[in-house]
Amino acid sequence: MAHLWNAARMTRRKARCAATATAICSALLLLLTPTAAAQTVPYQDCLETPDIGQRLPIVLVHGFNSSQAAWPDRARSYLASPDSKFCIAVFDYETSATRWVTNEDIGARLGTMIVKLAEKSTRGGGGGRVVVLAHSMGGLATRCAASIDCAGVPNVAESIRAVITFGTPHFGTTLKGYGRSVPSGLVGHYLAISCKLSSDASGVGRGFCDNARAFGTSDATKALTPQSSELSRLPSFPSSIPVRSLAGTVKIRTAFWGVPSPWFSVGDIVVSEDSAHGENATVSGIGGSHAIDCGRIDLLLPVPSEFLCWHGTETKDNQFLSDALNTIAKIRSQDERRQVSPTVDLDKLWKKWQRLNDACRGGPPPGVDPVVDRQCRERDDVLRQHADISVQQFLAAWKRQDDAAMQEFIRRNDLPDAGTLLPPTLSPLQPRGEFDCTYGTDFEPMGCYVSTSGQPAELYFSWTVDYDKGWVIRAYGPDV
Amino acid sequence: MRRTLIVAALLAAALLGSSCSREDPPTAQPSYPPLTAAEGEAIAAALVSQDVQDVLTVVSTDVRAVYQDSEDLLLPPGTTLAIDLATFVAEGGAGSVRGTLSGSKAGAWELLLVREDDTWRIYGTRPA
Repeated sequence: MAHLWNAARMTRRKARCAATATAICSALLLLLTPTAAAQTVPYQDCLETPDIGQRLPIVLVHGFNSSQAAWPDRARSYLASPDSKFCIAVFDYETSATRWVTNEDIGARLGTMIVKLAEKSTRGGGGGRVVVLAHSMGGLATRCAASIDCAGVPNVAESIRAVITFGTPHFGTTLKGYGRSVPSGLVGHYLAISCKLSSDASGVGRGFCDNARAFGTSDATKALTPQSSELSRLPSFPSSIPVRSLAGTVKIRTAFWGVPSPWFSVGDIVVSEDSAHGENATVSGIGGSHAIDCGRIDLLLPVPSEFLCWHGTETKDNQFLSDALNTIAKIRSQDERRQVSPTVDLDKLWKKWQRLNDACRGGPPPGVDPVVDRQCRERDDVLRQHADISVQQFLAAWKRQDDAAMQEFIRRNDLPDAGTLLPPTLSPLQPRGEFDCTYGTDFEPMGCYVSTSGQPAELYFSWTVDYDKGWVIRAYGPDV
Repeated sequence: MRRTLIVAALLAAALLGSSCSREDPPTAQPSYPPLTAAEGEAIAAALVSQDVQDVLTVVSTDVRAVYQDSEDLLLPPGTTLAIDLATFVAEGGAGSVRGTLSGSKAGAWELLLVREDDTWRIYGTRPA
């Protein structure tokens, strides 16, 4: 490390580097500045679109000491191009972005925006709920907004279809861990190097320096310290909301006396993986957690290498955005299936499946006849569609305590794994929320969990395919 | 493509930074006191200990967990380490100092340091 900071060498290099720097920075500018054509990256703005009812609104929330600019047009366009089924609304709290999320200008204003957008969606004939995509402290702002106790705004949780977080420090930030703060820690040291390096024109790490400076002085800084009272008081996301947490993971290694250490994770350098995954929940197959590979840093090398992303680049990173888009598309697809479920005739739908199945099974192997291949794909789609609608219709029957309609779906048998059979009626219990189902492939059973109003507090339903009837419940109970 | 550009930018910027941009003091970083003779002696004594737990007392928190049950940190018995305080350099919360090992791993090493909890701790070594 000594050679890095050697003043004598620096002096000798000064003149040479001035020219080199200019040349390299100019080249970087050319590489990283969008071309004239690429500057036009349109996206659908929820506040401007005339057909919001046809689109799923996505609310973008930036993080600590940042602004709406954290979400560049390229990212917005990637998530909600004009021909997509989505639109973008950006929540900007730049002037309060070093305050804690309970500040009225953050939690309450975000909650109000979410509710208003959901109402606009409803008025336009849409689903009346939004997806929140939040970076860093923006995820904590969303936790506050979703709680009436924290933000004081009613109906926010009901207005949120799902939350996706990028590097949200639910347990605080590593920069404030172990009683240390920027830049005294090893991680902070590397971030400081990134800061210095990114003072070039590329803007790859732009924002870190500002963050580092603001970090020592703001009230959010205190709150983001692990085990702070502010963090412990912040309400969790309501259990009914699916939460997808994404964590960046940079691997680091060192060496002692010539023996390299194993690579170990420092999260996205600002937020550890544990902290970023501190709040996640899967509801009806949506949500969960995922780690994004941000590359490696060898501490023995003078500069970071193979370093692909960190906390400050997550809102622009293709890996993060791609995962978010997949989740949003899955939500949209699920909602579209559910919208038709109350009116669909399941018997008619199953007859369609039988016709397609006969055509598919009676045809040549895959790849020979495109028509048959299409029928086979459609057959598989109908099987999945029938499963979704069956689950929805059963749940609706249960909610209205319609035993007869419920029994239409229940075909118990005495298989050894049938589990604990309950009395023939579920009426004393009420379901809470949606079914959380795991699909198999083809004819494999489908398992669904649902919370209940009484005991047992959770029930598991095992669905299977009856060739004559379609999807039916084979068994249900607390421990099927 | 985007990733390639980012990596290119970082690496190019890194090259710039490592060779050209060290003139300006880091405005956001406080200055820290140099490694004291007592700290140097404590580090040297701990690093030649045959008890991993003793060694870990002078190792950076971020790295400590990696070596918790490892003997990779241990030097051969009888090794001595002499730290040359005059070679200590630091920038912000990171620094380095040279040391000379005796014994089977004899030679000059650069000890990489980081400031934690008001003291200098070691996070790695490399040949000087």
